[in-house]
Amino acid sequence: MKGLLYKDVSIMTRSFKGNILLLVALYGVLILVTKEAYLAYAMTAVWGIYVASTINYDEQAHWDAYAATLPVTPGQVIASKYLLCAASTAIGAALSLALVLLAGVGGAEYTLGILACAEVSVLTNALLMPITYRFGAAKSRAYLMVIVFAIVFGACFAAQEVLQSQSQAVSVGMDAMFRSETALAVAAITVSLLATAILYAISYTICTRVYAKKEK
Amino acid sequence: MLTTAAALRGATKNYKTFTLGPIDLVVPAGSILGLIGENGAGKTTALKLLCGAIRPDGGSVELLGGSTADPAVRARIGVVFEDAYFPDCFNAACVGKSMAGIFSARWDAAKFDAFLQRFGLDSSKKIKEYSRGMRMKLSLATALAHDPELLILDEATAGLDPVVRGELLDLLLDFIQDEQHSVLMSSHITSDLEQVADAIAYLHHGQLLFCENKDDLMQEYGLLRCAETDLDRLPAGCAVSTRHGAFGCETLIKDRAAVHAALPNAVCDSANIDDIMRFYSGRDAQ
Repeated sequence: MKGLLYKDVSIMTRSFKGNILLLVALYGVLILVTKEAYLAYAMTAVWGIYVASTINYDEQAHWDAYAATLPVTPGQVIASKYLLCAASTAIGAALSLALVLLAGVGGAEYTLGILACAEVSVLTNALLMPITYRFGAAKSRAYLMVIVFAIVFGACFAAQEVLQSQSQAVSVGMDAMFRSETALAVAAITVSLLATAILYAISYTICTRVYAKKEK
Repeated sequence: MLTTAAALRGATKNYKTFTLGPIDLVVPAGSILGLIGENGAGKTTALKLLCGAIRPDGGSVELLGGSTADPAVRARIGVVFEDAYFPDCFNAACVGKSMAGIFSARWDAAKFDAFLQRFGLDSSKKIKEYSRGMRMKLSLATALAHDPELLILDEATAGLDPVVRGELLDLLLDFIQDEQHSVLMSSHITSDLEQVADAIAYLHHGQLLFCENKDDLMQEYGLLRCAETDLDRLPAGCAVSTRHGAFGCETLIKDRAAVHAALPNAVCDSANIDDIMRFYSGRDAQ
């Protein structure tokens, strides 16, 4: 497992070093100068995506065929990717937070915004990883777009329908459950973090199965 | 003590345009088994089955007394595919550190460095800047640095110059000296196999034509040059395949002693592995 993590970190640092430095420098300067927090949100989301690109390198090198002959399990190969993705997103989020604080635009709202972007990044990877292992790096991006659009538009449509029909009831129920905005926020954050963690774990399980069955 | 290093037992693998097997192939412990066959005969598929890179659709695979699905068993093999399957952006030092983490206590970093030095590889140079021969050497150094009990080599000598090939063959002979280590290698350079292999297995169109002791093979097969009418006097089953020419014919025969008894005046030289392959593949073309 340590060796697999080292391999993936090495691919990232050796292949994307310039790209990552440029991203941090560019976004850093823009955040400090413009004091626009949305740039920090974007940077958080981008950090997590790098890990999925290491699969592309694995494909080009036929690494998976070689890995199948090494003393590692499919679960370990996939766990290395998922761990690195979580760590990379956390680093991106911490860096973004540091930049917004440095720019003097920090606060609970921005911190939550960065956290939300980190969750989106993690969930994007949770979708992208199994698709990439199932269909290959080239096709997976297109499939991801289709799925994301379907989810976003589906969710918007469903939310509109629900709100139109039950807005009164929802509002009353919410008021009864949450006496203050803070309690609502804490509950929402907790639920969203838990949901993200559960979805990430489900994605890991699916991805491991896909990888184990894949012809190398 | 293991007597069988690896074995395919009735193993089959189906692809859209190709089927391997069912084949039974045993790699005896403490020996070098050479795998030969034309391009697309199924050598790489057979090797991938044996090292766990792919699963059989039928039959079973035995590896060092266990299963290819067991990582602890796979820790005891070293594999070299037809190219180095490491990311291009890596250098040899990166490969070493990564493998040290994967093989843990089995990995011998000093041995790996010694192989890099012996093969003249610059450990700081990126793999994409290596020649094919250098990449093969890196793969070999990686496969040998954790002291595997079984080495599986797929065209490992391809792209190497004669000096390094000679070194590698010496290394393989040293490797099996204690009779605990074994080698399974495929190669189109049949002279390499003639030098080091104890036995030869011939795959042809996904089927195992034979797996025989190399010395017996060299003793048994011959190239008979005679008139076409003489062929009728050969014992049944002796002639494998015949090529007809303007001045007679050339026939690959099995059982030279029987042929010599039947045609005492005919010229019958020993056949090498290339001859055997050429005639067997020619038989199908006829």
